[in-house]
Amino acid sequence: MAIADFVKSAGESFRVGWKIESNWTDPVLFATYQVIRPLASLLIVAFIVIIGASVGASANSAFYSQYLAWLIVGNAFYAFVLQIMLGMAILVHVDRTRYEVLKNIYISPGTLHPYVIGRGLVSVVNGAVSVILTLLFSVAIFNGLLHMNIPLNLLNVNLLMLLPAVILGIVSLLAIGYMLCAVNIVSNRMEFILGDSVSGIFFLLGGVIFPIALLPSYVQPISNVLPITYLLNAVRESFGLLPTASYMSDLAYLAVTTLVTLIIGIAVFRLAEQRAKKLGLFDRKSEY
Amino acid sequence: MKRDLSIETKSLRRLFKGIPGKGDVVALDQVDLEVYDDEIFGLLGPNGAGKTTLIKILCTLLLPTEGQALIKGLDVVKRASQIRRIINLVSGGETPGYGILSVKENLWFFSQLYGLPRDFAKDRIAKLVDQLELQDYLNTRMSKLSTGYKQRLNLARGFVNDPAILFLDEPTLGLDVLSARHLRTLVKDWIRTGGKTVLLTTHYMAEADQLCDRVGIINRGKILACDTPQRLKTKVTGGATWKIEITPNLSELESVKSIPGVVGLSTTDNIETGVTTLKLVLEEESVMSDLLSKIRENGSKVLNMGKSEPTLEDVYISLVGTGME
Ligand SMILES: Nc1ncnc2c1ncn2[C@@H]1O[C@H](COP(=O)(O)OP(=O)(O)OP(=O)(O)O)[C@@H](O)[C@H]1O
Ligand SMILES: [Mg+2]
Repeated sequence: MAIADFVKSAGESFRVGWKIESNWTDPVLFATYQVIRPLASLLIVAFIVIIGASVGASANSAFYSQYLAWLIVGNAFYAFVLQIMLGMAILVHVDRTRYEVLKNIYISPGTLHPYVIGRGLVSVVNGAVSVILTLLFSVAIFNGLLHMNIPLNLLNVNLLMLLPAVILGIVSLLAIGYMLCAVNIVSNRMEFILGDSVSGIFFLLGGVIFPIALLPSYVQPISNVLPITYLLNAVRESFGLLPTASYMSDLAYLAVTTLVTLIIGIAVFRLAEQRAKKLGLFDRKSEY
Repeated sequence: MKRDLSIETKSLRRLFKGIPGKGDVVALDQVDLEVYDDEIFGLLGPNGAGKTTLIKILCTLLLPTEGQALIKGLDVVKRASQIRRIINLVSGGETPGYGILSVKENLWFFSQLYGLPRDFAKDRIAKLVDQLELQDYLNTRMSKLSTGYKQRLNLARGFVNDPAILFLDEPTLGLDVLSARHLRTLVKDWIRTGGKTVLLTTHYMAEADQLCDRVGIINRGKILACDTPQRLKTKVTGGATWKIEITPNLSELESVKSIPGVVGLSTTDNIETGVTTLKLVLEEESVMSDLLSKIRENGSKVLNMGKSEPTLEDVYISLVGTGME
């Protein structure tokens, strides 16, 4: 398929995905998914930290406010993970059984690729909105409302450091999304747990709410191969919350893990596609 | 004049895993099929005969187990991406599309999957909307359309890339009489534009008779006969098709079916009058005397009998064995 045609198909898939998925027109839904959900999970953790800090009377308050900033940034950028995983985990399932479009998309010149990427990008945009709003609300709540002086200055972010990391991170998440689509192509039973379980694992192991060093030593190797670990490191470095000296190595690790994820993602997707052609799964109906 | 082959299968075989212990299901068995350019080809056969399986293989949705399938000379396994540009598929009874999008938006989406240039796509959609009489619903959400209109949208989608080969799997399922007729006209007009091929399946014999240049009759994965409807009628039924009206209905239909020389039998009951019409395909007319005595043995009275013009349904019945309701 010519690149121009691919871009066209992906672009139109994005537009369609935007219309059917985005909740802009419904303020309640929008607030729930894009703002309240990520903010609520952040606030729960944050207040546990705050209470912990005030209980330990001798607590070093500088340390805690530093940690809160670390936490807020990790949580905010985790929205990319959440949106992409949840969005892509059910995409194939819903489009095959409810909308019955999957087989017709598959027999178009680009097969499923432009469509999966276009739809994945909808989740990316939703994630980005969520990230920005979570950061803004956090600063407003902790520094504005509660006068906590958390070292989080959104105007001081080094965008030249942030952007490459975020772009690589998104590519790796889309690659993982590809794997979720692949699972859905061949299995008709995973769609409801897939997104939650995968994003849950990343939440625990990716250094979102506590440093990986606090994890049991036998799971740390897993954290060390997850792109999200390096994504969050690099993001925090560009926010000045971690020493910037390790930025280049984190970015390099992010690039390598992203590349590996991409290769695995495409390979897994191809296998699933091949299996679906062998068994005739592209038009399979719901088994429930 | 030798015409170009549009679709060709060579000893095509497709197995599916059956119930454990029961062995594989043979959905297609040594299918050799040739469909030409400018042809409307109909596949007829009972439920589970393998029609949809064949179409799925030809549409690059399913791999063959053995044998080969070619679209315009391109192998469906190795050259799938080239094939996808020139085909499209409409499955009756399915309503592919996003419910909250309008008719226009849904068509536009599919047009862009084929990379159609903007203006070209707009013209094409406008034309299809016109032909399928969807004008009044252009901006209606798909979820608000009736079944028949959803099916029209599905058909419009099938035509959207102006495919060289269009596969229609029971396209008139769920359409009212006029809409079905309208669709048939549309397909016929479209094929006249030249360089097109239609492969369709249907359970409506009259539809196949009226629409198809040639039909193939398939049962249990095997093509039993393949020719023009007219030639099939004379070839298969030998011209000896009989219609007998009796009352009351036969208590033992099987005993009549098993008379040597009875090739096919179907019955229709008129509940109001209590009259049953038997349609028979006989090997030769001499079978008739055996038949009439068997009917009397059964205690039924013959009200009326006569030779009838063979129909495609007679062909079907004599090949597949049972009447189709
Ligand atoms: N994905 C599948 N897995 C297992 N068996 C299948 C699958 N698809 C079809 N079959 C089997 O293959 C055979 C042919 O099915 P197919 O759908 O091709 O029939 P059909 O002629 O289209 O019938 P109908 O008129 O009911 O649509 C059937 O026995 C069916 O059960
Ligand atoms: Mg079928």
